[in-house]
Amino acid sequence: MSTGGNEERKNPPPETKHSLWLRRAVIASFWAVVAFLGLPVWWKTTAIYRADLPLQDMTAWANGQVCKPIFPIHIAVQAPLLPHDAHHLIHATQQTLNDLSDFPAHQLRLVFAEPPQPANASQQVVADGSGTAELDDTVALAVRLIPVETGATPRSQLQPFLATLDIYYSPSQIPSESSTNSPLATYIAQELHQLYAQERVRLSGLYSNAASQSESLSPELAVQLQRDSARAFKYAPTYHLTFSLFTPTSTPSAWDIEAALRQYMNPILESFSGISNFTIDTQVQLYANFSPSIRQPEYDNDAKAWTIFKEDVGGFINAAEWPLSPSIGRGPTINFALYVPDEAQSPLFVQGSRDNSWLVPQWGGLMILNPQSYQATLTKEALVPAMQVFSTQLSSLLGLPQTPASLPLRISTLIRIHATSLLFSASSTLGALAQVYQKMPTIPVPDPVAKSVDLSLAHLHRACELLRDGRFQDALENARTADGEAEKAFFERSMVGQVYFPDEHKVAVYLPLLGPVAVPLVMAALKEIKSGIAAVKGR
Amino acid sequence: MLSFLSFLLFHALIACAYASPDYHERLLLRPLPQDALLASFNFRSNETAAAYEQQNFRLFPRSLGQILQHAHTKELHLRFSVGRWDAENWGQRPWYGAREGSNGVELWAWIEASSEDEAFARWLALVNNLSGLFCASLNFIDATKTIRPVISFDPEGDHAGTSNLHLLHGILPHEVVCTENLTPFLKLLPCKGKAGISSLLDGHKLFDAAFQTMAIDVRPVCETPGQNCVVEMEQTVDMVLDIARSKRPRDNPIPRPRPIEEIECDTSKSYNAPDTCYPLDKKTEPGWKLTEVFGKPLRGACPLTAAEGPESETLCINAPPERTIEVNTTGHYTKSLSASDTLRCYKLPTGAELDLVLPEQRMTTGLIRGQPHLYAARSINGHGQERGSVQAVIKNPSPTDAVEFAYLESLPWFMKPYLHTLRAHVSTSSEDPLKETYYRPAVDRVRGTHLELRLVIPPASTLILTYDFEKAILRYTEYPPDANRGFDAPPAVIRILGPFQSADRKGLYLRTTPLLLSLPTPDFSMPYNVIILTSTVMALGFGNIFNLLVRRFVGADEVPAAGGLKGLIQGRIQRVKGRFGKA
Amino acid sequence: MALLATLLALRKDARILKIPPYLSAFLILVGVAWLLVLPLNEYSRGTYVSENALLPGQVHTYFTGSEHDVFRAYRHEVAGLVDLPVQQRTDKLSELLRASNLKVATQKYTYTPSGRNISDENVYAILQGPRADATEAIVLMASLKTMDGEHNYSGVALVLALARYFKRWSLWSKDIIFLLSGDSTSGPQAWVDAYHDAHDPTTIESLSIKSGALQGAVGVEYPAGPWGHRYDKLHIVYDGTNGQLPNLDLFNTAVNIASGQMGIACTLQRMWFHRNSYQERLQTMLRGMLSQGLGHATGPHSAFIPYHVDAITLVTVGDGWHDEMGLGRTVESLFRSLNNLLEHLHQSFFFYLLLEAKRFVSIGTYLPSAMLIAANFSIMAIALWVQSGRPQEPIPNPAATKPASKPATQDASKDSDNKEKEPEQEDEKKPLESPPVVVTKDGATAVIPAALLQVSERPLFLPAAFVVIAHFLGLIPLAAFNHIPVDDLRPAFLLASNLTTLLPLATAYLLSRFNRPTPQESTLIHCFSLLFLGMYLSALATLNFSQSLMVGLLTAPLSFVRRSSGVGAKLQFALLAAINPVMVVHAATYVGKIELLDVLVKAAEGWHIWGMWTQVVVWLVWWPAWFCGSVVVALGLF
Repeated sequence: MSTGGNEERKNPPPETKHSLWLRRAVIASFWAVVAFLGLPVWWKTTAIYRADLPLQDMTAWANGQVCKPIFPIHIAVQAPLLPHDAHHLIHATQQTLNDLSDFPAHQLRLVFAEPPQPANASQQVVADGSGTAELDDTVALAVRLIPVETGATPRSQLQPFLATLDIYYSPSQIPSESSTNSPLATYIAQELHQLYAQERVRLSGLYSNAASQSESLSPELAVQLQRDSARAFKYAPTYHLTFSLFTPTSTPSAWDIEAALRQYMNPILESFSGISNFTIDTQVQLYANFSPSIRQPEYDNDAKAWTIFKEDVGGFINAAEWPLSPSIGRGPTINFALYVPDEAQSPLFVQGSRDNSWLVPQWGGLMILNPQSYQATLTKEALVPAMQVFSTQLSSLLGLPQTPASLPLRISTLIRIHATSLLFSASSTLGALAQVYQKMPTIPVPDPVAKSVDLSLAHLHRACELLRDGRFQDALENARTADGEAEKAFFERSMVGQVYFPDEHKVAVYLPLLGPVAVPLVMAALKEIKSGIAAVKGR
Repeated sequence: MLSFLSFLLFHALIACAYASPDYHERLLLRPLPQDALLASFNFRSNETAAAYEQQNFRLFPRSLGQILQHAHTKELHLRFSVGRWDAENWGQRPWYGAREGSNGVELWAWIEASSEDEAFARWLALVNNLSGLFCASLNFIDATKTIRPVISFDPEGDHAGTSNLHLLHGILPHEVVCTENLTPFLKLLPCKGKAGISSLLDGHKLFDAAFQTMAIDVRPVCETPGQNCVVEMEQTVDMVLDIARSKRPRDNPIPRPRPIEEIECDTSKSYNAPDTCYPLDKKTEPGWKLTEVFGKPLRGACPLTAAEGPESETLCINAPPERTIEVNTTGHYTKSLSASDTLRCYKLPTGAELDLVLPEQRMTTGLIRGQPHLYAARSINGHGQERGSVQAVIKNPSPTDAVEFAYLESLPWFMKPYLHTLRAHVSTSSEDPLKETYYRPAVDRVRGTHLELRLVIPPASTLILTYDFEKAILRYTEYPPDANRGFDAPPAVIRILGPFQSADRKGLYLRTTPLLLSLPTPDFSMPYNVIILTSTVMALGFGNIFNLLVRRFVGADEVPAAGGLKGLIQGRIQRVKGRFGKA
Repeated sequence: MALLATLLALRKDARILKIPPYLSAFLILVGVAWLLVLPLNEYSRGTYVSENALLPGQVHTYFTGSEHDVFRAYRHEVAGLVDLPVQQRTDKLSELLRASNLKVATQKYTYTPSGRNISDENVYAILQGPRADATEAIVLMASLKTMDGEHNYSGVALVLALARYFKRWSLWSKDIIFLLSGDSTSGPQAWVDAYHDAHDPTTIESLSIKSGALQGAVGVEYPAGPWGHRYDKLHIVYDGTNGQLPNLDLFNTAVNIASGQMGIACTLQRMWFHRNSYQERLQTMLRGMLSQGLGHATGPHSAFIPYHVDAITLVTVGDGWHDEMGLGRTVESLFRSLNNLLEHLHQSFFFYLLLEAKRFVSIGTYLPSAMLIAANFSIMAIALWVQSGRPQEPIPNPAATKPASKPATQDASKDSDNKEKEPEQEDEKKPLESPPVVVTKDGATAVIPAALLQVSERPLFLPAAFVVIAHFLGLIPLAAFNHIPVDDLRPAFLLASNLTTLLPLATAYLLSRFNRPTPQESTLIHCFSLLFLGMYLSALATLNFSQSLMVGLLTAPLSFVRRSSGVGAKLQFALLAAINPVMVVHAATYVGKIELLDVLVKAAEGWHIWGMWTQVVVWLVWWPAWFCGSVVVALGLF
């Protein structure tokens, strides 16, 4: 019946200008509110703060494009020769060395040092290490050429506690002007090459692990590297050493550990002090038997001793009952457990080997000690074997190479290795952070992260330069801070979270509000625009 | 009075022999009325201060020592408790409240720090590490649960050398203490559970007890101020066992009704018949054995304890002289009587098991138990979701001397007390018992209320302390999963300041039970519905207003024929009108 | 927008005034019909336990063997002490409880409702759960007299035996309170008031020992003598004071355990035989609504529910083969379930109507019926308001679809922006017959019949004042019936019934004598009273559904009576006189064969002890509405 109304349609009276403008003003103001208040607020409240990071640099470091560490090792040669000859000899040796070198980054550089004392010094005079007094700290090794008449020449001797290699030669072996290669030079070169074989292997290993390098290693080297890196701890500025005495009965209930440590542990810790700091704590645990899961010891008559089986050694530690919780504070804990068996089961040996100690990779060392007599207290003397075992275990747990024989050399090697590994790990961490930053646009990135990234990069550069000019100690320091900062940036706590509220949620919740509000606004706007255009056309 | 003497003497024994770097332990057994048995274990292990500083741990557990040093904690007190000490029946608490906690976990410590903030940071480190060590959720002690008491606690140790110590205190009233807390506790002992009295400690029995509390107290003790100090760790376990209950075999713990033959019927009753039995409670002391009650044998002495002297007698039982006690052991033990024969102590054999057998016996004399200095009860009054009031009733039984005490409340922030409604009322006297008030108001979501009062009760009278509080409304996300259970308010700590004094520096304490506070809880499915509903309504309102503002109104016939929304509605109106026309 | 315009147009339509009576009649019918369909399977639901922690009937119960002998002995003891004076009785009970190592305390209390002296003593004992921390407690109670006034021998004996038996268990995570009270309503009331410190210490003793927050309470009524009596069913009573209900989970758990685990049939609302047919379901529901509507205490549990403590009472009924141990095991299992609770009962419904032990209707389904009935009053009120603003003579129908009707919408749409001021400015120049007038406003011109714009002023003072006074008048009888001593109650009631019947006539006569109220005024009086009634009832429906429904139905005629004259008026007045609240109460007592005095006494008792506010509704909501309505009618007589 609505048709009833439809016969006589009138047009509505023309709208007054005033009402027209009024209406437009209303719509405009609504839109203004939406545009200048609504949207900004929405934007501000839902935005996530992301500090910007130097992504290029970070990835570059990760790919090893920025820094190819090289290891110039300065070797001072002291020869009782005329400078001319000496230089010639050094030159020849250097030549041979370069020919021998299979790992370009690792460069042995011979320099000539004035001989400290007259050449005819007798052997024992030389033997005391007064000779290498005034070598500056960049020199890693001193080679002393000592002319001798007797004995097979050339022969060499490495000082165990000095960075000094003595080479005994007969003067006849000095190369002449004419001869391009001399046996002596070759000999020295080979000696040096040999000296640094292990280090080269380790370093090249690090290289090959680092993403950029793709140079192949010989299988046996790889295996050895695997073993070493598997048992050694990751480098840390601080290590906590925990010495524990375990016994299944109540005796011994005390040990003279303080004195023992002072005498046998401190020296080696001193020598490591350049690399890391150490804290020591000790404990005595009574009624702490080895883990019940393994087979009980058996008495073996011919050996007159109790034995546990070699394959059980792995499960010896009673993790459930022995309180070996890691120490508080930064840095890993290295455990040294001394197990004194029940008097009824003493002496107790590990089957097969008489060696009563074994090393648990990346955990620590363990030793079964069978004291001569069971008193309440273990004396310092009784602890001597344990201390020796523990010190060797400590050095291998810290990744100290077996060769060469000279401790200073090995430690300096260790410094180089750690510096390099830290360098690589820091840069890879930065790379990972860069990837996370790019992959996840929803996580917030606070300013501290950016700060520590910059810091880390700066130290990386510094470390790289220091390596170049052979100041390995400082390089290590910088690499250490770089790595620390990189870790800190990567594990920033406030970077997790926020991921759990996807935008779909918010929209779904607020759609009932936004939808009905938006529709009339848009419609009205369109209508007005249309009519406006029409009016313009009409005019 | 006998036993009371013996009791003091016993504690004197415990208290003596300070500052020798070795290990003491002692177990005191005391039969309580209603077939209960109090077993209070005490272990003390000392470490010379020097060795402690150098982290050469022998008797002191390394795990705890490192935590304390890391957090610069000089003195530590930790309590795990379950159940209530029934003072009316059981009398004075075994350690005068110095070692007994209230329900849940309580922790207070003196921390060395240069500033308040540093102290709090170290406190946080301490609680986090301890929660790891004891498998307890101590890490929930945050700023809102931490207070700094003023008069309720004094350091027990000698802190001559150290300056600016800060006392911090926190309670978790609803922490369920259970077996997983006992295991680490035992690991801290030098003899573990393997020898000595600690070999009796068994999770099942301990946590089936009517009341049990474990305490750890670390403090520096010096012979003469500043020199040859030792760091002493005292571990205490007190448990009240229901003898009948703990004698049940573990494989069949269900208390089935006893066969009628075992029940002693009152035949004098007129109605007494084969099928009708009025039970008589037998007047005899129940018989029990150590192995029965603790479910484990006592595995001889811990070799670290002293070889002879009173310190070597590590098992004591406090019973009337007429009580017969047989000792079953293959090893050699010695026995000594003290405190007019009410306290019998045994030196345990080394390496051989020992068992005490007390046969069922009809007693003519009993022990007089020491009377507590105060009785305290606390409860929430009123109902409803908005406000309530707390009422603490504290009774002074002593007919002669007035007792002065400190009353410490630490309330959660969402429980807002009105201090002006605080009333302390004593029935017998008119003078105001409230002497001093320390009050630190709560800040929402930042810290809780700390209320500390110094009060005096006249002899033989009851003090009623009341104050009203208002319940805050929490944010939607602040409710725990079991919001409808309610929220626990920590127990109040009462320290007796005078005239009674404890023999040592431990002090005399009393703790009330915690309170359960029911807050208004929303229906947790609501918020999204509410958001959606409100925004729909808003949108509706907006639409109408907007239309009113921008639409143009014209005559019904002036509508442009090309319907649109308006035309459509017009059509509908026409139809409606048509219908009325017919009606 | 146009919709709004149409409505405004309808506002002016005369015929719209014809709709409301039909509409509200329709609403009432729908409301009643709604009620009738509820028992159908489509509209009701089967009950289910929604709190997972309860695990009803999952535990094995051990309350047998020697405990049975002990129970018999206790029953003899109780039988021996029911006639003793209160003091000795209390001592004996305390001794029995103390014998099983519980903490025992007593509480004296005295009430004096309407002159009577109700004084007795509660005995209660607390079993401290070994692992509990005194923060939660559950209550097991029995009163020496049941609701029906019998001696509750076995009930009390059972509580004693269970107290002794529970003590040996170590698994209680909450304290258990055993409460033995003298009578079944005032005793528990006094106790629970004192427990929450909501009591008057002068007449009611404070509790000397307390436990934690109450999580639930169970009452036991087993009126079997010293030689026992085997029962047939368990009657589960669940209504609390003022029609508040316990959480449905508690009821379900009880039913579940009793019928599922113990094999004891459960019944409710005194429906001893329930074959689960439509009629019986309906009957059960109506009985439930009746007792809810009356809002009186139905057992020892009723006192707990106002404190948000869920409580029920188990009553044994009939002759069957179930023995006391069965009941004991039921209670044991029920307490094991409550002991499992981690949170206060909150999962299930608090508003429901039960049709049978395993079927219920939830609030969402039944609430509309009461709301509809309440709504009819509001609608009538609005209609009357509109009508009162109307000139008496009818105006030509303005809103037909003939062109003549065009102005309507236009005027309406103009109304929307200057409704208020426009009419006044034009009132004066309006002739009586309504010729079209031309209204011009910012360029728009309209032609409108003048009558439309004519608005008659409403004199508001007299009606408003009258209605308000009428409501305050209700306070007099309220106060009176709550304080008159017992002996004078009956005469007072009779007096009241006569007075209330005559009062409208008198008022109407006086009114008509002094200032004769115009029909308009009487309409407004009627309108206001209905408005109040509608609001009250719809609010009440959410608190006590049944009460609101009952009052709504009883006052329904008020929305149809009108001020008329002659026979119509007389008839209407007769009708109203019949539904006079006082008369209704009187009639109810006849129908229900209850002693009128008891009702009055109980009412007073409820007011003073239970905190019941049924009489508030009667005297301050129902009666004033009736009064105004009948005055309006009565005005027609003079």
